[in-house]
Amino acid sequence: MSTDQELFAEVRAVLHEEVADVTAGPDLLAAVRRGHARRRISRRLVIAVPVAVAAAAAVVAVSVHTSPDTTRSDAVPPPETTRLAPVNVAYVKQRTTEALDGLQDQVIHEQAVVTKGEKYSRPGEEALYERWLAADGSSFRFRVTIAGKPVVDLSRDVTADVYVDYRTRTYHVFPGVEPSAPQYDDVLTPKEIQQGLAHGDIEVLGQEQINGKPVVKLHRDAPKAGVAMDLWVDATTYLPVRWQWLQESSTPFDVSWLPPTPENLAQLTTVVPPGFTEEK
Amino acid sequence: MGVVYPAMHRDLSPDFERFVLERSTTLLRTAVLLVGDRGLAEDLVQTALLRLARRWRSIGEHPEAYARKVLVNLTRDHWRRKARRGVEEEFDEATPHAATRDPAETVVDRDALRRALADLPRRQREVMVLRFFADLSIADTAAALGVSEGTVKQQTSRAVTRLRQALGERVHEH
Repeated sequence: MSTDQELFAEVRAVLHEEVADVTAGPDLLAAVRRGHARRRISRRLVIAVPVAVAAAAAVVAVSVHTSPDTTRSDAVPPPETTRLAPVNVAYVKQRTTEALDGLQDQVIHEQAVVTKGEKYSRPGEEALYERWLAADGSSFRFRVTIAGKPVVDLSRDVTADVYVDYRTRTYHVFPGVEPSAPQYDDVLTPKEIQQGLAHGDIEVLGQEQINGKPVVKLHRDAPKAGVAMDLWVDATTYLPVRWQWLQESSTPFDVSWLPPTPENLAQLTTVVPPGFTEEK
Repeated sequence: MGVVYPAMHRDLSPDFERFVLERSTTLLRTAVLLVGDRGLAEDLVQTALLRLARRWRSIGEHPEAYARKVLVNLTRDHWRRKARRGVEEEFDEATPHAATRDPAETVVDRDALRRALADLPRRQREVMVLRFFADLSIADTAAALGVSEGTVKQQTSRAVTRLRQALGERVHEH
């Protein structure tokens, strides 16, 4: 018999041979373009018409601000995937649901330090990914910085969807959209967590530790054509403290809950730096 | 409503278009290996890319990993729908082909190996495709499939056993 490694080499060769003549042609990109256009048009038809005007005004009105210090956490490895301690599922659901009540005015700040190279960074570069979400789901912002310098910065709410690309010193302004609209699966509001717990879309897995602190691990199955996620809530406050997409190379985001001070609320809006060119 | 939206809103990001041009063949080949049907694979890849396009600007993760994960979920949806319709899944519960090749042969019969791979239960085939076609590590395969690393190792081991059974005397020590 061959060794496993020899068999794996043969398997590799056979699989590659099997699809050697399969090539994605330009039709695929064209189809994606068409599909994307259809989805965006249909989405905008349900959005209030004047938002495009408001969006333009909003960008003109944005002011320069400095980022407050964020609690920097080095790339924290995901919690050990060892055995989870059992918990009272009903109790965790109730406490988590209650903890998320009354937080609608908070600003949720999420951050991850990525060093292995991602879409915006090369391997070895330390990229800070940050997300801010108004807990009521009304605003969302995402920013990537490398060595303290922004790379991309975007925010969206019902008045504007702004995207700033520092690499090209350009920005786009799109009509606004509700950040938690079903078309986006990249934000999970407290209300959606509560609904997920109530409807069984989010399940309670058990207790483990993050940085020595007890947490309860939750899991949300993949929505249709989406990606599943794990979510950890503090075992004392029952507020989410971390989440992670369940896909290869994913990095966990650590979550902070910020009071609605003017400084924190300002973080929900992307600022277009002076001198950047609007891309049409 | 008579609303005219600027063309730019319908445009895809140049980064995204470059990604599609560079990576879609690999994604399509993976999909073909997972579902065994070129047309269906193209539909699934298109859906996965549309999903990726919507998250493109704010995606904080490796875009190909995201697309592959969506692709795996879509293929599983497909198999579930087929199962609900009562259609047998091609890769499940198949009996390995009996060995018929001359035992004196000293190399793997790739046609036989291809058939044996096609006959693997679906979960085992998923693992083999992701590990040995997409060249994912055990950890990345586990993440892509939403299972533990132990499960990936177990499925790999079972697949190897099954392939060896199917190949019979076809695989020999060199």
